[in-house]
Amino acid sequence: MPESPCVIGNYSFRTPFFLASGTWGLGDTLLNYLTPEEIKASIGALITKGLSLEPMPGNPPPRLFETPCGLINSIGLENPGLKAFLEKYYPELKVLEVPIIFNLHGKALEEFYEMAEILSEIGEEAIELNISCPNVKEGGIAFSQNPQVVFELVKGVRAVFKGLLIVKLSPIGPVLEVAKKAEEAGADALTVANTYPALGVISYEPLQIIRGGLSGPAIKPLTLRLVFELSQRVKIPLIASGGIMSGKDALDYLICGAKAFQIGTANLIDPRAPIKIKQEFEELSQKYGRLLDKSSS
Amino acid sequence: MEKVKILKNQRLSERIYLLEIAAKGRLLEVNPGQFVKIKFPDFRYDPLFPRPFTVHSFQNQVLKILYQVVGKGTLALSKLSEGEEIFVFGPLGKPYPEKIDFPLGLCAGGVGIAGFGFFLERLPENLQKRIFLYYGARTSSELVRLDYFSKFPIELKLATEDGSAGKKGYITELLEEDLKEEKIKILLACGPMPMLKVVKELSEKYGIKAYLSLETFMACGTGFCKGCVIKARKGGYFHLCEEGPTLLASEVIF
Ligand SMILES: Cc1cc2nc3c(=O)[nH]c(=O)nc-3n(C[C@H](O)[C@H](O)[C@H](O)COP(=O)(O)OP(=O)(O)OC[C@H]3O[C@@H](n4cnc5c(N)ncnc54)[C@H](O)[C@@H]3O)c2cc1C
Ligand SMILES: Cc1cc2nc3c(=O)[nH]c(=O)nc-3n(C[C@H](O)[C@H](O)[C@H](O)COP(=O)(O)O)c2cc1C
Ligand code: FES
Repeated sequence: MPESPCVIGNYSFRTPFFLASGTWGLGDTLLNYLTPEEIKASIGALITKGLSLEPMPGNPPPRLFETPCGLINSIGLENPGLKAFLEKYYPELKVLEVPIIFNLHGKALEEFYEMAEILSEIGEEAIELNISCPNVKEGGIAFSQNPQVVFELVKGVRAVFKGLLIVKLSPIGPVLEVAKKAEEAGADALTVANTYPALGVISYEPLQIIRGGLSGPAIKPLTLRLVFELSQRVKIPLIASGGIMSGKDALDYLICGAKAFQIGTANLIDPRAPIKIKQEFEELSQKYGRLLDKSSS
Repeated sequence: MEKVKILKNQRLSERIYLLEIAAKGRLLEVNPGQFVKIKFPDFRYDPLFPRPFTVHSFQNQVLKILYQVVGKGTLALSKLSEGEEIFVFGPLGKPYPEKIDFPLGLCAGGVGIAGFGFFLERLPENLQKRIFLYYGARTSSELVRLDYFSKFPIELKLATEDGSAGKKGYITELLEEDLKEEKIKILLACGPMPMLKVVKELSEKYGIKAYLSLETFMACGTGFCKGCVIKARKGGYFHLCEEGPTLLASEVIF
């Protein structure tokens, strides 16, 4: 397959590999590990950490728990708030000339609208609505349980924001209905999906349980199935997020209907993962390109 | 991530090993107090994350890690032998604080001693002479690398919980004796949490500054995940992999 830009809605990205929200910090340390040229060449878009209207301190420790082939995290959306992010972190990212997608978290619908308006006013072009964070008390995944609320949310944001509007689904709850409602309300694409609600028991002193979201290779087969099912039911593009560690993983998602791929947990293991994954993906798609073309025609 | 060859992976006691690798690339920039993360070859994503280790010694481009086997990652590491390859990523974290007063007390519990080797290696001899190293372990066989530490012109004080070497009891008891006599001006400590708690209390009791090298589980070590938090006294959290691992005792709550 020739290297063609990845098109989602009216937007075109240099590569289909995006950095997933919350897995590259606030961006201030990214350049320690990748050069601007490498970022430009391998990463199609940078999706910000989940940003809220007001700063959030995040959850008390423990926030992390490793499982076989997976990670349970309970960060609790620690972030400086949208405005502080725009002032402090954004300028350094903007100069990279890679599209930035703002991942937004609201406790209530109005907060989403307000943030969307702020971004609209400064001419920002892409939003990913996080209606699926399992680690916060208010908002987050609760939205994903109610397709009608999602409809209202997406419609409300659409009314004030003309750019690329992505909805990041939760993998649990009435996923298909939520997806349909998001599409109906004017979403341009869906990210499938966020982490899976999970629990880990820390079995040394002091004994603790950690409730959080499971990510990594452990969830790939589950999210792959979701992408496949959703691709049969919605028309808008799907962006895969779940356990993409290699070029082969991305290719699997492509075969199941995804248009773009988010790299999350893999970044935590190696900040240079996007380069490696993109390269592997390109080699593999060249090898299997003809097969893929045939099956899609 | 640098792919490096293992030069040596030597067992020093029942559970403690000394790993030697030939450093290259960015690893050559490492400073005392910083750490690296080590990924083992092909483990089918289990353990999923590379494990963090302080640099114990770095001379003539040979980088040494002193580690204790506690779980599946360190067990896997202990099974590797000379010539095999691992992936090493770093340096990560902040070096030990630059402005430090002397006489300086270094307090180590178990493999917490690791980072002090590299620290001493980089210290001029006149300052080495103003170091008190307090080194405690459960039993004498776990007081490793004594020959190496004895070569520095420092005052070395030992304790074991079972009394098989040095003073019987906790190393913090030895430390407190010297604090009473005002022998040291500042403290740098690394070891298990209960020991660090006592060091923190002692530093408050005797009114001296103490730096603690702390530990949490780390997923990324690069500031990406925001998971490695320690409560900050001023509110909010420190991210240990970015702002630590060494922090002022008076600024943290644990
Ligand atoms: C900055 C930093 C530097 C470090 N430097 C060194 C070093 O120089 N040498 C060294 O030996 N180790 C060092 N460590 C610790 C080392 O990283 C861990 O021991 C290692 O990650 C354990 O991996 P594992 O897969 O073997 O164990 P795991 O399978 O991850 O689990 C370890 C075992 O310990 C238990 N455990 C895990 N965390 C804790 C905890 N906080 N308290 C009590 N029990 C716990 C688990 O239940 C399990 O039984 C450092 C850690 C950090 C953060
Ligand atoms: C440490 C961590 C923090 C995350 N933070 C966010 C976040 O702020 N907003 C969000 O929408 N998703 C967040 N996610 C979810 C990821 O963006 C991604 O969708 C998920 O981890 C699944 O992909 P993966 O298996 O490739 O990691 C986070 C995931 C991790 C591991
Ligand atoms: S371990 Fe990920 S931010 Fe520190």
